[in-house]
Amino acid sequence: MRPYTLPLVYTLAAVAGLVMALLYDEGVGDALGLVLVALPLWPLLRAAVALRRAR
Amino acid sequence: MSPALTRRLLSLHRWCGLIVSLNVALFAVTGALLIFHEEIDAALGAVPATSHGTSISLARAVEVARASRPDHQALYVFTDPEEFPGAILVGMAKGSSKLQDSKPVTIDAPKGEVLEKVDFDDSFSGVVFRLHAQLLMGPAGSLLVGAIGLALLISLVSGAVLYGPMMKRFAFGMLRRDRHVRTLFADVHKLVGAATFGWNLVVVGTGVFLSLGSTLLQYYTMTELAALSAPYRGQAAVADFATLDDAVASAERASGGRRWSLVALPGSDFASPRHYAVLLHGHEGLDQRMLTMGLVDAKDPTQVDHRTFPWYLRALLVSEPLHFGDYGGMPLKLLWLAFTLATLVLTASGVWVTVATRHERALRRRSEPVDTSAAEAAE
Repeated sequence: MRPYTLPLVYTLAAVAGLVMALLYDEGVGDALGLVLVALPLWPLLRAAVALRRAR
Repeated sequence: MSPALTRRLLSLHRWCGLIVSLNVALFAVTGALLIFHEEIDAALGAVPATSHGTSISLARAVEVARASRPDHQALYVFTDPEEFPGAILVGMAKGSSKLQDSKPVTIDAPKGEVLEKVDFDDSFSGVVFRLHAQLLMGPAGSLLVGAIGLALLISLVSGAVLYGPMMKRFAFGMLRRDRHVRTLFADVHKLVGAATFGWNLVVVGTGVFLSLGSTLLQYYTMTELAALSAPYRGQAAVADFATLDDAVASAERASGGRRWSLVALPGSDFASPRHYAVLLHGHEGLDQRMLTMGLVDAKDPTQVDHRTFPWYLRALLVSEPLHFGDYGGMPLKLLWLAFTLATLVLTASGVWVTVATRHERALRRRSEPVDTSAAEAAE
C-alpha cells in the first residue's frame, strides 16, 4: 500500500462527512455523515489503546 | 522530491508550526469551550429568562429599547427562537451607524420589558469567543488570527506533502516504542497529523476565511449595498418603524416561506435610509444557514426586492458551521471535541520533536572533536 492511500481515505471521509452532515439535518444522510467524520478517529483510538497496553 | 526541497519543506513545516503552536493551543482550548457554549451559558444562567405568552410587535420592541437608551440609535432587530426563546434583541449604538459597533438590548417579548441583567458581550462565552476570534484585540485581532491560521495552514499542507517521502518505508500507524522517545513522539505526530488532516484542513481553512468576515461585510456594504441605497443618498433615514412588522411579513411572503432572523433598520450601515434589510433563512440543512435578503420599502412595505448574497458572503455563511461544528447536535459536538484534543496532541508532539531534535543536534555538535589542524598550520 502506498504511503498516501490511508491518509487520503481518512481525509476524503472527514471532508465528505462534514459536508453531508451539513446538507442533511436527520435521517440516513446525517447518520452516514457522522460515521464518515468519525472514521479518522479509529486509527487514533487503536494507537491509544496499543500504547496504553504497552505501558 | 529532491533532498534540498525536502529539507526546505521540513524547515517551513517546523518553523510555521513552532511559531503558531501556543496560539493553536489557545484556539483549541477556546474552540472546545465554544462547541459547548449553549450548555455553558445555560449552566451559568447567561440565557435570558423570559416569560411565556404572546409576543409584543417588533415595532413596539424597538420603542421599548429606544426608551431605555434615549441617546442611542436602533440599528437592528434580531430573534433566535432556539437559542433565546421569548426574547427580542434590539441592537443599539451611540453615534455610529455600524452594526458591529452596536450592543444588543434584550427584551422579554411577552412582557415588553428590558432585561437589564443580560449582557452577551461580557458573558463567559462572549469573552471566550472574543479571545478565540480576535485575541481580545478587536477587528485588528481578527486579521492577526487570520495570519496565524494561514501559517498553520502552511504547516499542515507542508506536513502532508512531506508525509509521503518520509513514510515510504513504513506502514501507516506505526509506533516505534522500542526506540528513543523522540522517535515515538515523531510517529505519534505523523499518525495524528495524517488522520486529522481532513478535519484540520476544513476547520483551519474556514477559520482563516471567517477572520476576513468583517472586512468582506464592509466590502459588501461599500459596493453592492451602497449602489442600492445610492438613489436615497442625502435623504434623512426613516425613523418611524411602525411598518416594521408588515415589512417582515412581506419579506417572508416574497421569499417563498423563509423565516426572518435579523432586520437591519433604515439608517444602519446594512440598509438604505429608506429600506429595511430583512435577513431570511430556510428551514433545514444548508438552506437554514444560507441567508437571503429582502429589501423592503419602509414607507410602502408591500414593495419588496428579494435577493441572494454574492458568492463571498455565501461562502462566509457556510464557513461558520463548518468551523464551529454546531450543526449536527451532540454527536457532532463530541466528535469536534475529540478532533480538538487530537489537534492538541499533534501540536504538543510536533513542538516536542522539533525542540528535541535541535537539542540533540546541539549536543552532538558540542561533543564532536574540534579540528585544530588549521590553527596549528597557521602557527
